[in-house]
Amino acid sequence: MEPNEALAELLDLSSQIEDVAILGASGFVLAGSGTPERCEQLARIAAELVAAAGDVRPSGDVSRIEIDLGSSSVFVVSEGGRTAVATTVSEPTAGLVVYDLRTALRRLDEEPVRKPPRKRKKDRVDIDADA
Amino acid sequence: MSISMPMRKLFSLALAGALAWWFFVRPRKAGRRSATIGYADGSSVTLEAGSPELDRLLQIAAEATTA
Repeated sequence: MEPNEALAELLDLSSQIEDVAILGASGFVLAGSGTPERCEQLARIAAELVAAAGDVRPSGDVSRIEIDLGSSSVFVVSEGGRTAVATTVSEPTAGLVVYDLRTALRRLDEEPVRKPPRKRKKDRVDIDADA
Repeated sequence: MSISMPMRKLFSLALAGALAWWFFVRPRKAGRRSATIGYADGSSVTLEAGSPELDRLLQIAAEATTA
């Protein structure tokens, strides 16, 4: 699935997420809900949060960060080398937000559903003409 | 339409409870700041008020809300 499609699906699904950006393996923005500047800001914040969280337990591989700021929350979720960073409303259902972000990241690996090619009308006409 | 005495008492009690929650519990909940870090091995750490790592994370995260 394309990052923009996964993002649209995520925003449709979750009413608690306010701003979100989906980042590639090296931290570049694949898709975001805000302006390019806002997405870059979220990408920078996600990188700084992961670095700061890594200092808490240097041997651990950080996969999720939830920060409750009181008036809102910030989530960073990593899955399959990609990262989603989101801000939410006050007192969100943390488990649900993490699940939704993780699902969006997993959807990126899914192949787009392709319809089987339709037989061209012209070919059918040719077959009819031969008969 | 008149409300019976027991109903009036019950209503007053419920109203008092709601007001108490609004003034005492809600502000405390809103002011609570914490961070949870989850690791790939399934373990997690919750940082509570007073830890230096939490202050650093809160400082970075606060930038996300000042768009």
